[in-house]
Amino acid sequence: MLKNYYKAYKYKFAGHMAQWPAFIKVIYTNRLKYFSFIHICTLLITGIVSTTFAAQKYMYGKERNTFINKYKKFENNSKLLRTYYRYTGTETGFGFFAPDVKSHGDMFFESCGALLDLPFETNEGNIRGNCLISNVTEYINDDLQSGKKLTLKQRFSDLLIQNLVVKAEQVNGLKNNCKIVKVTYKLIEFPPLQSTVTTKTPLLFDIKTWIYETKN
Amino acid sequence: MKQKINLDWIAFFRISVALFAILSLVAFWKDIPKILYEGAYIKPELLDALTDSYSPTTYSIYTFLQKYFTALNFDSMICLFLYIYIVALSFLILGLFTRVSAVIAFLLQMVIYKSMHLYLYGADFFQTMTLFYCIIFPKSLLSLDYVIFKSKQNPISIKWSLLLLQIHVCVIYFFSGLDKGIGINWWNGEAIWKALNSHNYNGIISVNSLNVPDFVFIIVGIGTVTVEFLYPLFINLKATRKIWLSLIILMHLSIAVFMGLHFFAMLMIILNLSAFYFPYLKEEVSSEFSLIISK
Repeated sequence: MLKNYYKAYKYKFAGHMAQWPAFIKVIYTNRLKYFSFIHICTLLITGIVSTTFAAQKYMYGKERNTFINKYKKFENNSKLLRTYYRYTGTETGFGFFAPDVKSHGDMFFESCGALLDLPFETNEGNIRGNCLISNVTEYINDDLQSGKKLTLKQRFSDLLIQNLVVKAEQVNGLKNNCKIVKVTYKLIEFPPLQSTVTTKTPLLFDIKTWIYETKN
Repeated sequence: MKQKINLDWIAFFRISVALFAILSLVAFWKDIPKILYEGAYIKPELLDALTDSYSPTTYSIYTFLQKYFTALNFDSMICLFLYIYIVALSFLILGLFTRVSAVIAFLLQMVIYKSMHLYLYGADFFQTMTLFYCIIFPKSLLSLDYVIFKSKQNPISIKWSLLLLQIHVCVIYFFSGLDKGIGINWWNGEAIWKALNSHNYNGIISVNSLNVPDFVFIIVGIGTVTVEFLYPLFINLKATRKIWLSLIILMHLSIAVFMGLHFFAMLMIILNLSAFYFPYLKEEVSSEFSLIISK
């Protein structure tokens, strides 16, 4: 029955198509060809923009006012482009671990001497946990660099940390009646390649500390 | 009458992408309550507030649906989404209602993964891209759709689909190599050393245990930049295609073994095999992967 319905639909569609103007038929037959051309252009633009940004940040420490930066602003404000990139899965650049491999940060939660943990059960969950810390600390880095009034993203970052503090307390079920939770963001710095013979352990650098008072 | 159908690149792409999507979800299945549910480490409403409105999240769908179904439970809705997603992917593997199941899988992947956007990494974005390609690429002959509905293929679409996939893979590696080449640490071995140590998530082998001399890191660093940057050239030359394909697959296998990014490595290998291995398989080799169906 399903097969017959499909056949009937196909014939009906073919009948309709025969009445279409010739140029629409050509567009329909070659739809993937035309789409490919547009899509490849957007991929190249994404690559050029992300590489330029990475290079500017790496060489000058900040973004510069160039044509590409102006385009990026336009792109960020364009609902059409943002939606297109989102729904084609092409919204990120391609520079993995580039131009430099960032040092990996970690967050430590402590309640009156007791370390609190936010565990994941699977290897993949742990990788995603690392991504979470990396994303939360990205806003912290902005906060440290700007030194100005907190942006909306930075305030959200603070909210995220508060959320993690509450969760860490709940998960660990502490019964020491301690209402203070200290959060430390540390950077894990591995020794450079040449010194590996003598030093193998990574160094931990305190970047930022927060003290939160929790309520019942 | 019997007809022999070879495993073409479209079939390999569709089946492996759908299988990959199931495996990558199952890999953190036990942690889903900590990431996506109401009692997750980061509250769903906070994650929703932190994202843009270009695509919906589970929380935004929940608040919308709650107007009509007041008794709706958030965790049950997530469960329902996850199971529908797995069913759609299973249909995609079989090639049954390929287009519809690809659209459902793509939309649910976007909703589920966008709802945990702070937990995402490169493989997740590539997964969205591959599922999008499953929607627009023509149906393979190796599918239940072909067996049941005798669906036809548009030769122009097949040609352009392959070209699109090949160019996309080339663009990825070219810019990845270019970005790395800008950084000085990729030329002196530091980047490889740091990546293997600092970003060793679940690697099977630790570099520390091997006592590798410094020059190996320098060679591997320069080699990575070279292989990626020159990928678009050498993968398209018939004489060097197999060598370059082997080198890039070796690089991704190393990422899996030493850094533990198994799913990222797996997806990149799938993309490479789909774009530059299966389309160039000789007839006699591809017949080993054939399926005989009655017509």
